[in-house]
Amino acid sequence: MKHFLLILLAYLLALLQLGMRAYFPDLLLLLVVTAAVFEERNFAVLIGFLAGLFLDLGNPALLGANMLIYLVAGYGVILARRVVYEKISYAVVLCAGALVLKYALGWVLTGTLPVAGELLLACCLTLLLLPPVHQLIKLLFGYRWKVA
Amino acid sequence: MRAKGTIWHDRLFFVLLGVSVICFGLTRFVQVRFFALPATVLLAPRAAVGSLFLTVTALRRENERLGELAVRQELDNAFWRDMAGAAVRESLSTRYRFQRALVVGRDPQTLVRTLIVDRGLLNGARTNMAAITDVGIAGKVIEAGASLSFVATVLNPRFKAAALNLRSRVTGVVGFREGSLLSMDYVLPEMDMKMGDTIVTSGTGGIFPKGLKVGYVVRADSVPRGMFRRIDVRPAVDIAAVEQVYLIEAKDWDAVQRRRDESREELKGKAQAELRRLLETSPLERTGVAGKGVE
Repeated sequence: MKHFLLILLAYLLALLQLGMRAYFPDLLLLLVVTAAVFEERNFAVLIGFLAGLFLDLGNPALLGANMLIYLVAGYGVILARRVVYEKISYAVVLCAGALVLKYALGWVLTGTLPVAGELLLACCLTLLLLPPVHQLIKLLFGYRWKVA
Repeated sequence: MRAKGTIWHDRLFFVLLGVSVICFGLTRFVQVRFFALPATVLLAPRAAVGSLFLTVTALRRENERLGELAVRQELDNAFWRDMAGAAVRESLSTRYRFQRALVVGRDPQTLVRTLIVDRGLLNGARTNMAAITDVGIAGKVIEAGASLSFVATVLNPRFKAAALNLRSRVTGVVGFREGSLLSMDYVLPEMDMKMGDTIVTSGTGGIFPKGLKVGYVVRADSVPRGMFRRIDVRPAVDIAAVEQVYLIEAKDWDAVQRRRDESREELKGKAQAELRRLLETSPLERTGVAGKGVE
């Protein structure tokens, strides 16, 4: 049930994100990072993939790009969480890493990047939103910190 | 050293990575051709919400347009109600300028005495502008701030308007009585006034155009109290439910004000001249005794 709800949440966030401008925070990435921190690896990888798929279906002409980006970003967080020890500040660092991965992969795959101001704003907003979103998902799904 | 089962997780990642790469490597034609249908299905809720939003926006615009149309219609109706034998004149809706104002506040005690609307001096609202709705008059602006104005409703004790009976053309002054009732004052006992008659503005006073609906007579005592009959009128507009009003003013408002000031000055001049003349004449001449001679 919890997994189903997380997939539904990813779907709804993808729908929301499709209408957003480039400088809006990346809510889907927040979900992927949170799932990568708290969930088992198998499901966290799947959430990253599905998040990208939902986004890609909004623009089938670039199918695969977001799948790769979110999958790799999620997997990167899964690998990095081995060194996380029960501190939310580490999650912010992981999210920052995921953002770097996301934009770097996006640039490599599609050859486009948002303008510097928008990019900076989106990153700041995403990082600022991480702690509340993190806490909210923790509360909603009853997660506890655990080392992978 | 990796834990047992870790390889399977990594394998899943690589499988999904492979799928992603294959999807990304497909030609645009294949991507669009094969994923258009699932995309349409998955994005249907978003399309529905977008369509709903557009519909609501369109409906809101349409509602505003219809509201404006209804007010124009009411003004035109007022004109036609008043037509009876009058020569062809310009329609009221073209002679008056009006703007929509949303009710953003009410007086905290009764909620119906005073309305606060979101139009002020910066938006062209002025003191003494009429506030009407599509069913009749709602009140008049008693104070215009920079971006908000106070409208004294018909249920405000400060509100007075010259009115007439649409059927019998009996005139009077409409003001607040009590509760949700208005009174029509200065109606003499011999004047024709019945229950159910429609009361409209008479157009004198310069604030309200002639013929706008004020309300309906709900009580008309035949026995006078003092000099006049008691006439109770129920307002046509439900003030408690008003959400928006239209503030109207004559397009030649400045000219009307100027004419009014000029005529006031003229009357004042005449009165002063008459006073001077009276003061210059002797008391006997003033009373007419001097002309008759004294024997």
